Amino acid sequence: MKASSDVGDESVPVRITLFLKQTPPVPVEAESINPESVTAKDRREIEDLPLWVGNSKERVGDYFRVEVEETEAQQDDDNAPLATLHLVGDLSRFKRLGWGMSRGEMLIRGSVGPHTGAFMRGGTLVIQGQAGDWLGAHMQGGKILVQGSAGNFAGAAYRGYKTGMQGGTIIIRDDAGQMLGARMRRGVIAVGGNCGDFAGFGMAAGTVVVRGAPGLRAGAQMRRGTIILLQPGELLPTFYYDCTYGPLFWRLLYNYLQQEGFALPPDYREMSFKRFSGDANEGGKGEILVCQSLN
Amino acid sequence: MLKIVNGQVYDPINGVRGAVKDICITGGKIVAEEGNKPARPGCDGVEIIDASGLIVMPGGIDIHSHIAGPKVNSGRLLCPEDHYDYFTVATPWQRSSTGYTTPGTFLTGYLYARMGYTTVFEAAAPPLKARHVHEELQDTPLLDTGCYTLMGNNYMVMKVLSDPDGSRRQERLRELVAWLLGSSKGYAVKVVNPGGVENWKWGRDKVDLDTPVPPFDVTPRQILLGLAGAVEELRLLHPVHLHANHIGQPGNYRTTLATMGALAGRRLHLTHLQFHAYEATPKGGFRSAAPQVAGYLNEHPEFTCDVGQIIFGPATTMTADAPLQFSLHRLTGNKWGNCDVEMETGSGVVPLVYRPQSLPNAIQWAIGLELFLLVTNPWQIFLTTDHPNGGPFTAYPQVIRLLMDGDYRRAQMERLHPKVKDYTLLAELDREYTLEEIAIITRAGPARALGLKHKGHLGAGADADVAIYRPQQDKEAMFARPVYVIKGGKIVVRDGQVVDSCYGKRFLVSPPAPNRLPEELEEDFAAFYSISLSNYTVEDAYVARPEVIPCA
Repeated sequence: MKASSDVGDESVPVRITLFLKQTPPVPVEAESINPESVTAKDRREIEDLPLWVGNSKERVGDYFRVEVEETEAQQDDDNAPLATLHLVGDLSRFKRLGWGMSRGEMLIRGSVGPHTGAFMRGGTLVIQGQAGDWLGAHMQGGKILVQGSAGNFAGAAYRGYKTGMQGGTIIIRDDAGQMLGARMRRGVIAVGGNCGDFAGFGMAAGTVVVRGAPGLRAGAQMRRGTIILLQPGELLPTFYYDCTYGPLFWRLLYNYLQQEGFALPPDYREMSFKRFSGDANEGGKGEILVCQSLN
Repeated sequence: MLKIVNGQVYDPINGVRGAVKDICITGGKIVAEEGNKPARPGCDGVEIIDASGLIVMPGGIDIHSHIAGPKVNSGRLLCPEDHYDYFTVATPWQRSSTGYTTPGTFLTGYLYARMGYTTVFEAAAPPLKARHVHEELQDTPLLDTGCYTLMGNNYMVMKVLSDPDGSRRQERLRELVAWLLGSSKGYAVKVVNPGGVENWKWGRDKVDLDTPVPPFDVTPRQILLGLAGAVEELRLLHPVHLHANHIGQPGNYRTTLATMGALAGRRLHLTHLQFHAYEATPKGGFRSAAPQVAGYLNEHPEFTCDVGQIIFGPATTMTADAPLQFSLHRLTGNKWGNCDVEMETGSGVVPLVYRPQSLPNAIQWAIGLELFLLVTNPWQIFLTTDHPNGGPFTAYPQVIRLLMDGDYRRAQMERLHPKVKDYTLLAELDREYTLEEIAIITRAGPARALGLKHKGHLGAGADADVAIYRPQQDKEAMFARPVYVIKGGKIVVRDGQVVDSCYGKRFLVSPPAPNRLPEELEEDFAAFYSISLSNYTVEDAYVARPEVIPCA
């Protein structure tokens, strides 16, 4: 690996690191920061990328020190070299990081603000800290891994929209806030800790897994989809008991989650579940699987 | 003074069809040209706009659009998704605002002005909510405005109509209509699904023209004829502005024809006629009844209509026709806002998306264009999308292109559901609108139908509202971006961008009748309204720049 300050050739794989120099005084609209927008740019061009700080337009360079390094070959699915983007620092005042990214890898060493990875279509986003609200809202593909907790509305639909997350995977190692996966239609969300109220609110499809304590009213108004609670919780009266069974698909999902970095003890693989159908007010085609026992 | 020189002028009211002439403006009015004295730039305080090679028309007039008031605001609240991606940034001349199908008041004014429109009428104001309508119109820049007062399901109107004494009935109705117009500061009488909304509120089904409607068992026919009579007696400038019964239902063209038949020989404006021209098919669907409806209109020049053309893409339906909105909610599964306007009407809001690959939507699209092309007299038919019910008003340039460019129209038809040709005649129609006809359906015709003698033309004494376009093969691009728009003598848009700001007038009428609620209805008002009579009337303070148009 060799250091370079002016790498502008798209054919050379690079790692770009943005070190936070100063915390901005107000929240920042930072949708310009994602792997695609920094690829094939030299340090100066990256520093010139716009940031809206309050109502003033400022530069990435005003808040970050930029380092560009050539790396070993880094190929994405399209076989075109794409920069790996690292961000370092407490970015909890930066909103919309990785907004709409479709490929590449973004690693954030620190906490991030709201709307991170919203409308993401592909690639990988790793957050080594806490994530704000609306993590992966309207996400369509790719993977988000949070090695901490996430705020409210992870994978949810923005106000007014009928459909939230439509694909991809969100893994939250610790806790998640309220309205997890609200109105989601496809994809997987897995939470390693507890989650807030209304997990899977209004789901149309997709899968939500909660390992810790679920909040109140999980699955309220869900039309279809699956919520898997690995710790029992109080369900709404509009969910009715069907059976106790060990679904085959759980083993497949277990393997997938393990592979994606969501650690579960080996004995969970053979778990049996109580199946509840609901929400009866919305047709009752959704299901909540509540951990029954370890076989 | 402002002088527009060498422009190719289209001014149908004054019979000018593309002649090159100059337009002189002083004090916000168009004045007669000063002899042959050549105006020189910078001299004598004359500002010159060289319009050589450009098309000069009066400012556009939208006769039917939902831009202000509680139902529009409900639409904005119900559809935050309508606002994320559509906004305008503040500049020295415009404020920030958002929205696509339900833009905020500021953006509404800017978007209309940027197309060359300078006058817009809000199509439905319940008297009880009229204060809010005026507040929002007051807040809408660059436009002269007015609103129509809803009366077709009003408790007091129906009570008066149930009076068996014919002469007393008509006299009281006349007084009541005058009072409702005065207290709501409305410009004309709007009737929405006469009797049908009240019937639905009583838990009953749809109404035909002769269905008795509770609580007084008056029929929609009685409501229509009574209100049309009162409008004539009060000599209001605009006739009854009618949203007929059975909107959107297969077979409703028979009701539309029967309604026109009931009022034959009298003035009537049928609004969003496209939604009322459906013939039922044996399988429960619908096909175009535009030929039947247009044929009737062609034989009855006393009627006018606007089309309510649908535009593919998102729309937010909002209407006082609450049962329709409930049906749409059930049909689409989309979110629904409903409001019972006590004693007066209902209302509802349902967002939806018109799709070219949906056969019903494709047929609706074609029916609208068929009406445009089959109604032979352009003075009888006006361009609207029933904004935002059929789509946003910002699509007017697209509709103009569809009317003026047959090849483009046929190419667009290829995008539609392939079966649309089995249900419509549009593919067989070759007519293309001329610039003069476009000037009629977007300016001169609405002005005449509204009785606004100082609007919609460029003769001496007219308001100095002018739109100047650069001729282009692509008529959509031409009408979407005027070179200049002049409002009240001031240049407010240049090259499609707002460069100045001002607020327009509010048109009111002053009917020849006492402006008070008939005594015998005061008791009903006190008993049933949730507000007192003294708080009901819209005060003058809500209309900062009124212009009272004398009744004919």
